Amino acid sequence: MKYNNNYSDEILNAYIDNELSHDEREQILSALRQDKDLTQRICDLQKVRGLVQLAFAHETLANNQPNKINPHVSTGYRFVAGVLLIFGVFIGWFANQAYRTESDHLKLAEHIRKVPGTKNNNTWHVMLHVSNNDPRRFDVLLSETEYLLQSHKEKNQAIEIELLANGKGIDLLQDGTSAQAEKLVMLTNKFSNLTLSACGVTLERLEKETGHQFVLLPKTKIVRSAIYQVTKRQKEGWSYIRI
Amino acid sequence: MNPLNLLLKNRELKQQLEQLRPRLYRLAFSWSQNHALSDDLTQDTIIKALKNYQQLNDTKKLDSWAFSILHNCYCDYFRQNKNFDDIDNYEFEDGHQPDTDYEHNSVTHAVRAAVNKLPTNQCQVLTLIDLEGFSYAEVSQILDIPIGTVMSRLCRARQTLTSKLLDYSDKTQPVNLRRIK
Repeated sequence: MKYNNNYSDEILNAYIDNELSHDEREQILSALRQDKDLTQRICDLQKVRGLVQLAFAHETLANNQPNKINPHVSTGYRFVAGVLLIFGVFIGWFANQAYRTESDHLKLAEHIRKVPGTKNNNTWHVMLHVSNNDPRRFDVLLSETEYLLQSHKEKNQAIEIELLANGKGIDLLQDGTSAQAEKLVMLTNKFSNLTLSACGVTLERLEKETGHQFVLLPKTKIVRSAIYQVTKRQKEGWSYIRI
Repeated sequence: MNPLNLLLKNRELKQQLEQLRPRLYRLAFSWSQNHALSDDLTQDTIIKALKNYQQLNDTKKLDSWAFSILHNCYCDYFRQNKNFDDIDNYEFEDGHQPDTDYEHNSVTHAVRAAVNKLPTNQCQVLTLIDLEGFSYAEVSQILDIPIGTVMSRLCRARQTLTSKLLDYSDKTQPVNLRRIK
């Protein structure tokens, strides 16, 4: 990695963390237009920051975590809680027996939640992400996608699904070579609420390395980068499931 | 301050601290990567904040004040732990290598492993800035270190992560190319 000697890493960190004055930012911005190495360094730092944010984005306490500020709980409450717990265990066991056959879809559905604060709270938003070219994963991805779309359609329940591919997973969206192309085209034609997204960073890298332009399936949109898209969707309240 | 105002202030503080709980927990987890310990540290932080709330002069600074308590709780925990030698220079070694462990073959696991291996002092600065969005001045106040130290620790942390994660990403995602006719 080449380094531009004019700006230290500390200054570039301060730049991406918005810690510089207006004039200092102006100087770096004008240098960026002429210096590709400098641009690359800033991109790397921003990418690292994005990765850290993504890695811990959903590491929070469960929403139903009890309020622990007042640790003095009466014996009566403890007794009631114990009874409810035992009751819950039985209900859970019976429910598990009853729905065992749909376990895969239920597991998936558990991750789905409504987007808070949106105008239409009845719409479900799900991002399915694949970064691996394992055919079994592609099959799972497509069957789960089709199941979700079909079941929501039958229940007359609104859902939006974005299928995102990056890294090796981009093979899924490659026109002409993807074994799943036919099914994906069928799904996008049948369901307007299914979006296919390809990672722009991956495509750019592949095109640089091969010198060929990647041909993607119809209706596939290219997003800036997979990490950016995942973070953006999570921020918007979408459910994120990595297949 | 009359008793009614004191009561209201205490109640308001409780609510604010409860709202901070998920953020405190996430930061504690990014430092320790241990769910039970993070939960304990978060709880200790909230209890200490409630006990010492009279020390908080400016309620607008509740966030940074609570995070500085979390930092102290974290330091206290490891000072009491005999297995911990030097909090400032401790590096976690979990025995896993991202390129050899299938479990780590995802962005989240790779990033968490890399953050986990940072020296504690760098990890704390990095997470306070990247996860909590604190300014350098606020981090300096929370950790009680000069701003220059904040900048240098952040710089070293990001350099390490850049070399580990961006190189790792290149190594572990070799591209199978197909010629397009």
